[in-house]
Amino acid sequence: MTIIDGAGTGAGAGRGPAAGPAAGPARELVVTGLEKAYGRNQVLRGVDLTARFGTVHALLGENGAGKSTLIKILGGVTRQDAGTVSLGGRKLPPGGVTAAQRAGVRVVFQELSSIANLSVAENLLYRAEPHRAGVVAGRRLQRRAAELLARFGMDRLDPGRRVADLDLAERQLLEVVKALAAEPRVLVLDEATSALSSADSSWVLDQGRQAAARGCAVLLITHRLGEVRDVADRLTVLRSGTTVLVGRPDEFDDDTMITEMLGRRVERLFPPRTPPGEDVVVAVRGGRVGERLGPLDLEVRAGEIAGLGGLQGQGQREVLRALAGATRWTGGEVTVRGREHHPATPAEAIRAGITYVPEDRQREGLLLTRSVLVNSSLSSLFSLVRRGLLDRRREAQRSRAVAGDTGLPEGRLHAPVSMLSGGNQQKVVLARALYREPTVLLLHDCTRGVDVGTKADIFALVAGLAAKGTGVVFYSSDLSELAHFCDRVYVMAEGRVRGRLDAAGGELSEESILRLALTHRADDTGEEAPAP
Amino acid sequence: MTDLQLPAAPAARPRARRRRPVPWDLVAALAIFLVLAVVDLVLQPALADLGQIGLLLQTGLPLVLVAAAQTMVVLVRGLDLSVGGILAVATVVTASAQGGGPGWIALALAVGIGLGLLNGLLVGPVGMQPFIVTLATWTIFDGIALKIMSTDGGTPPPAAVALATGETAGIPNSVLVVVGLLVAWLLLRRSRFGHRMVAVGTDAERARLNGTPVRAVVVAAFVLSGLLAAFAGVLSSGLTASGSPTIGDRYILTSVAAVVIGGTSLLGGRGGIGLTVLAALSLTLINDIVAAMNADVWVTTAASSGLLLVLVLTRGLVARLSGRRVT
Repeated sequence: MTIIDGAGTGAGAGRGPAAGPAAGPARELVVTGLEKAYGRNQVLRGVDLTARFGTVHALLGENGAGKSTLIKILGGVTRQDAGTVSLGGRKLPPGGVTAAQRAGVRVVFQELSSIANLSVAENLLYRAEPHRAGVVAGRRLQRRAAELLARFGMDRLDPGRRVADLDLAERQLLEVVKALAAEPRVLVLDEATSALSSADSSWVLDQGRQAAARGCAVLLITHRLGEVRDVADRLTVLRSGTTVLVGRPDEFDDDTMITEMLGRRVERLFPPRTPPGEDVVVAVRGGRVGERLGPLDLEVRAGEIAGLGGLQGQGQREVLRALAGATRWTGGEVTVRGREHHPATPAEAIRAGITYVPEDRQREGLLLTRSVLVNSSLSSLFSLVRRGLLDRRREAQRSRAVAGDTGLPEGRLHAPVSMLSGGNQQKVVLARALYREPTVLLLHDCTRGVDVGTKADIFALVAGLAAKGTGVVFYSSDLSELAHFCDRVYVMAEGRVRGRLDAAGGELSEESILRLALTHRADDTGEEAPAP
Repeated sequence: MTDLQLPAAPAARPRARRRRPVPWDLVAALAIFLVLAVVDLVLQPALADLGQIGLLLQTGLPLVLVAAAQTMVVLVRGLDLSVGGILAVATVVTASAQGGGPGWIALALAVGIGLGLLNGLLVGPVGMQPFIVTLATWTIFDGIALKIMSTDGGTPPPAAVALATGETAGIPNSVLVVVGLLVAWLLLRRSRFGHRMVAVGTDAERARLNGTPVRAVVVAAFVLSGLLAAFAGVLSSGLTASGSPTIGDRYILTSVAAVVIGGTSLLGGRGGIGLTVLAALSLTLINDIVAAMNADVWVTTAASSGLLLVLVLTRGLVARLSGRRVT
């Protein structure tokens, strides 16, 4: 491993001592004071980052720390509100993706940018197709693509195949080759290894190293600290949209990095917990959903708040959706209060006493144009029916009572939900859950984008419900919520539960969750036989 | 609790050799066309003659072109309900020649391009839903056609009549038009612009991440659609030797039907004019068969729609059985 810049410069302290003969323009990518807000959500609040050409620079941070936004700005996908990005001493011109690409920035996007209905070759040379009078020269295209694939040691990808027929890992590899093919000055690898086997991961990291050796500044975003130690020359840690730590990987131990990623937060948000009962309300044994999720074991007791932890997109959403009847279990045994539970529709799950608060409250959870009253009684209409008709008066009475419990503004019960703030909208969704006193409450990131005061209200509500015996399954992208609000957290990675942390045993903390989520390495596909 | 060891390096995977997937859409469209062609031939053996085929093709030509126009827009994940309106405007502009020359044909095509551009600008840069935009412009264009010519009539230039009904070197012009359309499509499909269209239709956001000028591509697709729909109008007026401000509406849903039967995905990014042409010809054959059987008009309508339903149903079943994504 080569360490090029030996000086431990502080955050955003500009260029280090000139290493090598390049005394002219700064041979580095410099980001200073970058700010960006989406609506009222300030995502970046002054990010500084300096990555020298010829090095691999790791970018670390919790979910929501602002890494993706920073990358999008670098790639020209979005524009910053303030701050500058300069490359080799020259400012990155505005003008979107094309301008950024022309300046030499290539991003391997986490969400992948290849076009499913084009072939591997057509994707590799997209917008650089060899052509005669506008008509693409098919044979030359194939040949050039094959040459590129061979050059980067990825000739197992067939240039003629349609990308739609590739699996996720192959698409990821294609994405990397595509970026490398442009011979970029700045190469951004955004969690490019997260979907790959260990052999493919090391290919990606190796290519990153080689690109750096050719003089490229490689920005490596990963959640695997091992990878950082293996290939990165320097690192920058982001937290809540600011740069909090800069240095060489060997200057810090894992704990320091993790602590810096989390930061220290004073938490008064969380209500005291009452210990859960002994009855198991939900049990999943060997549960599977499709190819990617499971086998998986979970247990939730009455009155328990069970967290689903881990990095984003490790199967937590699928677990909640399957329990809620929005998708089907494809294997395993699932019981609710001892009775088998394989709901085919959300309606069946609701009848079994399960209430699901989905992630996207506006799209999946609310009728935005209808009133608070209508929304809060929506899934318990049958209990309000008298002689075949809806008893409007009882509906209003109960809704009012529930609204009082949830702290919704009394005067707004007839207002359309779209007029409420995000936090209050979330309360309406929860009011609906309260209305039913469900056996099981499934919460998907219900505090995202909600202000602190409302958050506290929501936690109090949920804790109150749990005290009455409801089993709660709580997924949050915020580690501190998992650590302080849950009785037990199941940490998930790549579709499986990787560990269980109990608050009672003193094992549960932000650090222990993150450690479990991060130290898990890519396994090879299918090393565990599926349960019979 | 966790395994910190790196798994052993796995053996190099052999290069996957997979068979090319069967092009079911092509097979289905071809099979339907052939079955219908055979049925028609059995009913009317006289059809086995180039001149006769040319005559049959003539009647189907406007539909073939309107369906091709629809395909351009559907490929970029749009929908163009105004193709009928553009066709109507083109027939009345062509028929306004009243003894004038082929300049009127050029004018009709230019008007088609202009109307397509209007649609494209509203959908692309302005960002409105194609369904809503073209639902509105459909009626507006119909209105324009009625303003130009309140009833059927007028005289198109002789060139338009010749284009639709004449022949060149013994080959019916209708055959040449279809062949020309197919050649143009093959070139377009292989062009850089064709790749952009597929990219935008497949996933506009990913296309943007690759630096595609998404809005410009959408505008261009609508312009091409307008041009093709206007060409359909020119041929339609040549065929009937008159203009008709109300002729367009019957083509709108049929054009969508032809696109679907031809296997172009309404979700964009898949398919093309080749199969649409085959499907439009199949619909024409149905008309011809029903006419040959002396059946009522309603049979034609019901038969075409029935075919559409059966086809979409079978495609769904095939997709489910073979585990592919339903388009």
